[in-house]
Amino acid sequence: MTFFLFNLLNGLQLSMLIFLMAIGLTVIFGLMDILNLAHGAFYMAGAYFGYVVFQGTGSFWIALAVAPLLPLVLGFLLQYFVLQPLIDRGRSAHLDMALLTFGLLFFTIGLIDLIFFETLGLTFMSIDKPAGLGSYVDIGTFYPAYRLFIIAVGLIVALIVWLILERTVVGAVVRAGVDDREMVRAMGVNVYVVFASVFALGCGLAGLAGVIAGAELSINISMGVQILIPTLVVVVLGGLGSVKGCFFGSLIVGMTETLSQAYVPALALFATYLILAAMLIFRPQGFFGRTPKSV
Amino acid sequence: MSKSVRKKPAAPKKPVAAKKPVAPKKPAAAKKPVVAKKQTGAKKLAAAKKVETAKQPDVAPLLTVSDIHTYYGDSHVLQGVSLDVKPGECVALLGRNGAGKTTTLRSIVSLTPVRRGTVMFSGADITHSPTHRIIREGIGYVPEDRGIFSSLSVHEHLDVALWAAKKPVERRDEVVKIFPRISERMEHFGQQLSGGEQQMLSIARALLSEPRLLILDEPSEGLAPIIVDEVRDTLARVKGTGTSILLVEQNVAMALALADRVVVLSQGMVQFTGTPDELEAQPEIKDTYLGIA
Repeated sequence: MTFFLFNLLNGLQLSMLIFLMAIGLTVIFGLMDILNLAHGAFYMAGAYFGYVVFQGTGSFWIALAVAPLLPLVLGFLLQYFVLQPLIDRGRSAHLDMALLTFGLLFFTIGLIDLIFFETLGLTFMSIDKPAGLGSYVDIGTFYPAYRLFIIAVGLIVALIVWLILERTVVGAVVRAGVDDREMVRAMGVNVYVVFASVFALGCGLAGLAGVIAGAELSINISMGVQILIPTLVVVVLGGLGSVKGCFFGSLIVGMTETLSQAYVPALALFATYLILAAMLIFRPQGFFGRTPKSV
Repeated sequence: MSKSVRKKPAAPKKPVAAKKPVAPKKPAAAKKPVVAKKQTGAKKLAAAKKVETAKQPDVAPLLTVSDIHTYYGDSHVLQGVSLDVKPGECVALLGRNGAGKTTTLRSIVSLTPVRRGTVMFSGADITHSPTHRIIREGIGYVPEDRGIFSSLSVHEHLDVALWAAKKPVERRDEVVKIFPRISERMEHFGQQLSGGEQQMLSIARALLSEPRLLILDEPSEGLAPIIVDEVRDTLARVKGTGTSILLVEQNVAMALALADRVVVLSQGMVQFTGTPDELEAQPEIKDTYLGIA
């Protein structure tokens, strides 16, 4: 029983980390049709910049507060000055954007490798957990306090994002944009600012996930690709632009990966993909996705 | 010139009062051609057509579309369309499917970019402005498919429109009063509304910003006849408040009931511009370009 509880919490912890990534990706995809494969790069930017800030200040909390700002600003600049102008000039949002951002992911990996490994010679990097969260908590079993912290952050962010999207006018503008972008423009909304802001916030959350992961997992150059794959599965499972769908999708993927590893290790490598395949066959629009409007 | 016209937005509010004293005072015959030339500049085609419209010869148009060419990819959809809408006037754009009516409306608000020609609104060149700036200049847009958001409640539709137009909440109450059906459905979501309710919401949303020009793309499409009458009466009331209207319609009877002037399009070109009476007098135009005798 305690073994099950332990794995359940591990699954929840992984789910929340994936959620922080997937929520940005799914809203960006739903709102502006950009499949942002560079999302993994923003996750890495958060982790590595978090490491730098942590080394400079010695404080996990400062790193947590400051590091997501870098991917946030980079995300805004990328969307406003690169991706949107390309789309306006007629480049396809799907294939061209996926290729461009995928290239950007590998460029980032190469750049980080050049700076941190080739130049600075750093190999094993991580951010120290803050005092008070480095210990274990007795909840029938001894469980790392930091992982409970990850779960709490994920739940709080999910609640805040849901409240903003469902209960504010700006959230309604974003949902309207997911339904019918053109009509939002025809109402006099400057969608360019809305798009770039949403893109930036999504990248900032990816950066937040990166800093948090940097204190639990190791910081390395494959971390961006590793988290990107389950994140993409979540986007398909949940349906584009849906917070609820993204939340449940993250739970399913996180739990499946963790529990299959614990109980049926032979299944672990492909259990998630079985679910993905079943979803694509039986409900391709995802749990909470709407069938795209025909024009 | 552009400055003086821009200062005029208050004028269309009381077109009836403004029109009558002006017309008899001026030596209309002498002044007419001069003004027409000044307004349109090099566009002689547009000038020639304007002389026909004797209704308000000395009022500068609110919207002037001059010889616009629009493409979808390689296909040359609009091949030099010119038209204008004067303050307080309702202009109907008629034509068969594929004549370029929707494209003309989309070109005016820059949802589809114009390649050649100009669009002037209230004295300012808006040809290449982004859509949101054009809308903020004072245009309300009701698109062909009504543009209702399925995941927003009626309330949220109006809230977003208020936010976009930076209007106070009181403006919503004013508009809802004109559309009693909507007020009963404030918490319903877009997809739960009937076609008529969606159309009313779309018009109400466009009116929230107090536009000087309301552009509608086939507001009667897919509606029961009794609802079409309701839409027509609503638009007549909107026109009564001095708001200009540019209307695309397949329902010719409804369009002629509302319009002061009619523009007939075919294959991306203007085939006729005139009053509904002038159109009635030329059955061959109705037969050839509208398919009704």
